[in-house]
Amino acid sequence: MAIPAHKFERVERKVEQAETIRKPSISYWKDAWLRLRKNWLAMLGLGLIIFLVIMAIFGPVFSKYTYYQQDLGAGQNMEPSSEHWFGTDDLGRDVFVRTWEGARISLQIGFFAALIDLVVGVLYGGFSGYKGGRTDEVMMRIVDVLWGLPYLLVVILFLVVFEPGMWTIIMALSVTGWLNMARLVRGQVLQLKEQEYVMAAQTLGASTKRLLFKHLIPNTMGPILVMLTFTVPNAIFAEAFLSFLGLGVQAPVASWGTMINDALVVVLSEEWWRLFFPAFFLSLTLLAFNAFGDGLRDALDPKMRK
Amino acid sequence: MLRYIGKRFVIMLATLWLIASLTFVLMHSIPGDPFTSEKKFPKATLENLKKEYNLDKPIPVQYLLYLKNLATFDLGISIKTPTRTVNEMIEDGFPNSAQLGVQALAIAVSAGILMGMVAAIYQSRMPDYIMMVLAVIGISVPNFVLGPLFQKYLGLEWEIFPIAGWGDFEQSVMPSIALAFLPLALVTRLMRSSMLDVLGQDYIRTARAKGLPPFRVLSRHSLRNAIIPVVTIIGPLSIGILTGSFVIEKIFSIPGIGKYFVESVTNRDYSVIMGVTIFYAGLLIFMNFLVDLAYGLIDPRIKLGSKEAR
Amino acid sequence: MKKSKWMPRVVAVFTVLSMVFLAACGGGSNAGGELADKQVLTIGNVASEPPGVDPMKAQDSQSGLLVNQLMVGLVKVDKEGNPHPALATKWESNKEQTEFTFHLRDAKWSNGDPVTAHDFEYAWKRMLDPKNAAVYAYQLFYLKNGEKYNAGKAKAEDVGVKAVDDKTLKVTLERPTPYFVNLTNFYALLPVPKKVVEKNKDWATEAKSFVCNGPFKLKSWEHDSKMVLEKNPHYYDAKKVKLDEINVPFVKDQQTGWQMYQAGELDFGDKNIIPLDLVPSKLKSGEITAPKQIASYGVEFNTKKKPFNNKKVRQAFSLAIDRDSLVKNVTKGGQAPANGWVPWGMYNPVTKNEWIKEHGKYIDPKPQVNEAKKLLQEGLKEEGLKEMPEVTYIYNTDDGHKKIAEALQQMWKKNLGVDVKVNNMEWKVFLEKKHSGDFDFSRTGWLPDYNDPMTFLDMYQTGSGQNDPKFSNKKYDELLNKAKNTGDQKVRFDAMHKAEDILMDELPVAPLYWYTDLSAQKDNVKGVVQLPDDNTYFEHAYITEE
Repeated sequence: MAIPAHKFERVERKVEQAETIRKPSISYWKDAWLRLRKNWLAMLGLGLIIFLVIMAIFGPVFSKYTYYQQDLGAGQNMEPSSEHWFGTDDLGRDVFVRTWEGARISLQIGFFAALIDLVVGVLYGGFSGYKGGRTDEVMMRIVDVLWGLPYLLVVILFLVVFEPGMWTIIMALSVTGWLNMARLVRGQVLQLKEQEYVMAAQTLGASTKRLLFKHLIPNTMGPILVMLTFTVPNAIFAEAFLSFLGLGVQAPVASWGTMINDALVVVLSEEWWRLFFPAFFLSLTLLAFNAFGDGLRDALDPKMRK
Repeated sequence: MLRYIGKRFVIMLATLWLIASLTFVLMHSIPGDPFTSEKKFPKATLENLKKEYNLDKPIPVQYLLYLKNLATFDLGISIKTPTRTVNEMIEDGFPNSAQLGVQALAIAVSAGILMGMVAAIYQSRMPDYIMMVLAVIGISVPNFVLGPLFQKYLGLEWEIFPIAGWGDFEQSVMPSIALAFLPLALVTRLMRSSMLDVLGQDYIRTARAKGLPPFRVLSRHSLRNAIIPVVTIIGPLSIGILTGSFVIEKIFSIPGIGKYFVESVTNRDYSVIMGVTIFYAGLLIFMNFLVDLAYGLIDPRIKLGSKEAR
Repeated sequence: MKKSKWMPRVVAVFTVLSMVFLAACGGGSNAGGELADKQVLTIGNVASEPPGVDPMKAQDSQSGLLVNQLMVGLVKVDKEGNPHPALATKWESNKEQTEFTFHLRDAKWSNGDPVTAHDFEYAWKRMLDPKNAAVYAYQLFYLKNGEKYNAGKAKAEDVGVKAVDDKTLKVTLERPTPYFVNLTNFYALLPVPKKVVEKNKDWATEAKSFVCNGPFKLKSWEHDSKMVLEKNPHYYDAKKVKLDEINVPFVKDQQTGWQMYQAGELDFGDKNIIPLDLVPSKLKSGEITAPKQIASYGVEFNTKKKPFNNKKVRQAFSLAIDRDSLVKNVTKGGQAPANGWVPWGMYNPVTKNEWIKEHGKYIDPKPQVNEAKKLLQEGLKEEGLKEMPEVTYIYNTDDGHKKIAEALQQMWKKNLGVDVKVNNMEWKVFLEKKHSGDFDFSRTGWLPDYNDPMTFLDMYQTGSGQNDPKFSNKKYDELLNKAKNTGDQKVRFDAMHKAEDILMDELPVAPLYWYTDLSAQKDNVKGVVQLPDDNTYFEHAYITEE
């Protein structure tokens, strides 16, 4: 069956529209988000993280106890029950409340440690590796010096100069927290910058900033994310160590690190809940971060962009 | 290349000197000295003690004395344990720490690379998930929990390994594994991630398309390109492990040097602080140098001695 | 499909769960009777390489423990603090208690040389010699001109110790010291083999060159790892020593030590192998014991700083503490709520009574809430304060101190309505803060230098180096000086009791509890002597057939 010619309509050629692209342009980050959303494991990780953050903020509200309230005598080392959901510790304090109180501190520490890693470590390493030559030499030797100094001495100096607390810990962590990340990113950038596309971009006159943020760092995202998932637990345990030295949050405030530290003895005794709950939620946090991190890695991988 | 190495060597010495000097300053600026104690010493005794260890001299003189001794590799006598010199402490302790560290590293690196590759090849499938869970355990169960757990089950209850001590190989198994846990997790995760990067590259597709056997693609093309992050991390990691772990050595009663890093500072044992710091920093700087050299070997495109970019 | 996708997470959660999930364990053994064939004891008392086994270098309780097995001095001291003959068979003193003469028995060093009075004279002067910079030189400041010689202001010949002949040692003291005979038991006053030491300065750094005169000698010494002691055939009382060997592996970690003890790798141990948190349950099950120790734990107030410069504020804080609950629920190691700063285990040689039974009740173990609140208000008013200013309680980093600090914080909040900040510190930072007076109040613990109440009292005398609260009370100082300048024990003890009355009213230190020592020994280990002054002797220990 033939279609009569009048059924057709001629489309005017519009010169001014010839250069437009009909499909909306999707930015790198938006594209990444679209792909991330489809990754169920990553979304589960994200969901868990949100859940943990909410519990850290509101968890203690659900209980009638406070994190510092002691019950000496009958209330010490009680098993989990309807009265104390996660049991009580050696001074008769409610472990449920303390776990979420601890989450507040530990998640904050983890967050800031990751932030330092991202901001200082990635930029420092990226710049050093990209610039190369003398700049790289000097920047990397600074890293060596910070690494070589006895950290304990630095910490004790902090102890004398600053008041103990959250910010002191974060400062103490920033001294050395980003070194691994810086060296890692630098190593990657050293390799990447010799690749053809970087040369191409350079030839086209891309600025250092553009090269770093558009080409080099996105291509290093994999190792960066892996490193981040290690920085978080490291920082959480470092906090326990720093608190132990007197730098950290002071009693009766709890953190996961100090709770695990204090409960170490349960390996030999019977009060498993004192170690189990903080350790379990710490593991859960890390699992969530790893699942989310893996998904994010895939989503941010420029080579997987379709 | 030789010129680069020569230049690097001079810079390394300068870095070491800087670390030594900063440590010296830090050490003298924190409160307390070797003789701060709960039972305060009478003035006369205190003066005698300070004289004995040259601490009565002005700080700059002490500094110069220290540099002089350092140049002759004489690290002095421990103030806390005057029966021993710092040289002896390191000579006796380091081989033990190093043996433990090499064993742990061997486990961590070999198993880590393997597990990472498996996870990457089976991305988003069961093996990948299992590796992730193992890695999460590796990072979230700190070795101060792991050590006592091993001792309780493998040592006390099932009597497979001795609980603690040092001397024969059996005694080194539990601490090696406990020490390997965290680096193993790190290497696994890093390897997986960079392997995934590499597997997506065009040249891998080309190699596969050419019909190269999968194993060859992995070993010749993928592994070599994916290993840079692992190599980077191995530098500081191995130094951290070889120079002993305070926690592991304490738990398993191992006569290594890990404890000196902590105890020297808490005792303000000046000569030991300086000695172990120099030793550690020297190794660290040298290792980072080796890592930089290794970059060039693994990927010939990486040129370190070259001029700055623009 | 959906289901299988859940698996990884389930597996993850459960693996993590099982990694951290822990179960309990138990153990026990039973007693026997006959002497075992193998008389080898393995002890877990020593944590790390000792500063030395030279009496001059020993400076902590762990090196002290080793030296106590290797060396023997003029006398041995029993549980009630009475001296018994050891190297000295008898001794006499003048009426003023300023001159002592010791008569020595025939005894030998482990290399066969005789032990003479000259070895004592040499050892004591060596301790004091400024060139040797001995840490415990002050333990010999009792000797005439001892302190001056140590400061380089007197000659060695002027020091009040002299070997009259090989068998007679004459000691002249700076001032009356009735308890001097007891002091000679302390490791700083043990003899050293003059001939050996003069020839080889480093005689005590290796097992091979070490010479001693005690029940045991050094068989081997692997630095930083272990020591082995063996029976010394030259010991004057060697017939009574039953153990052939004592193994001393250095056990650095309490939990490890306890597991080794459970596995039978250790036969004996003290607090070095007993994790604090296990103490209550193991005490209950009888696996460990907690004998008295002469030591006090307390809270020191900075008497030069508001608000604790006020006596009533100090009293209020002390009255608000529930000492009974503290020892029952927090420390849980058999400690006693302190009723005075001088602890249990000290005896009055005149009446033969324990010191603490001789004075009234200074402190109620239960908190006195109403009185405390009233005193606090009065005290604050006296200082012109409207409300309680912010105060910080400091303690040095330690799990036990932390628990106590947290409990105290709660008690002050509950009973006194005061929010106290607590702050832990690294040990030497803590000490510097206290010594320099830069604190409000802090924990303190005191182990005696010698077995006499004076060691607990003169630390708070005006100008004393240990007086961190900077307490100063004229009457108190006078009473102590009176006690220090008399050889009459009755006068001394009366004065010291009166001094403690003042101390417990003024409260520069609020005592909390009296210590216990901890001890774990297998059922087949017998005859170990553990004294309340933190000394342990294996001389008469033996092992029975199981």
